[in-house]
Amino acid sequence: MRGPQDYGGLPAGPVDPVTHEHVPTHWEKTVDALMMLLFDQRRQLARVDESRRMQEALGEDYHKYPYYERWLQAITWLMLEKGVFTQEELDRKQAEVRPRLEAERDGA
Amino acid sequence: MEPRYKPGDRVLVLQRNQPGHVRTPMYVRGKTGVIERIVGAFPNPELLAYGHSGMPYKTLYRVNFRQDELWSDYDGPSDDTLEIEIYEHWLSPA
Repeated sequence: MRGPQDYGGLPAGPVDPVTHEHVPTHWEKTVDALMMLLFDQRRQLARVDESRRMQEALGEDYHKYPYYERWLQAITWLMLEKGVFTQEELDRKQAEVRPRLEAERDGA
Repeated sequence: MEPRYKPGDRVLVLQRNQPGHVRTPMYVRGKTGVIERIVGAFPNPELLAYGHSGMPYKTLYRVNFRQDELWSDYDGPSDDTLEIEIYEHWLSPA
């Protein structure tokens, strides 16, 4: 039972350090802030170990998702698991927000 | 809690399959190493990962492995070693 995070010792190509330089985007900082708030001492809605469990549950998709998308998926799954919100509420909110974001992207 | 091992003890990493969030990588399971130091006692991350308290505390060790014990085709110097942190419940006496 090898998780997608446990690649030590498997055959792999060389690591190109240049492509690992990255300036965080606004969206990535938002995800970071979201996690800090959900995990803070006052709310304690989840822990980093739980986030790791969820990220590792991505299986092969783990390597397809960028770093902060893995975080966001883990946060979402944890909040669903804990009943903080339901899938229906999430779907409804996404349907509400998506047209606005698309309008911002295409228009302004 | 009293640590079961002390620096210099030889230990075998358990060859165990376990779902969830496990911090013992595959490449050290079933390998024999030597306790380098006791790091301390910490809540068990395997339980924290499911939202539990992580109690009782588990002793964490720094364990030293010979590289040529870890990798059958290792062609570096024979005294190369690797150190990794392993929780006590993943170790048995060797």
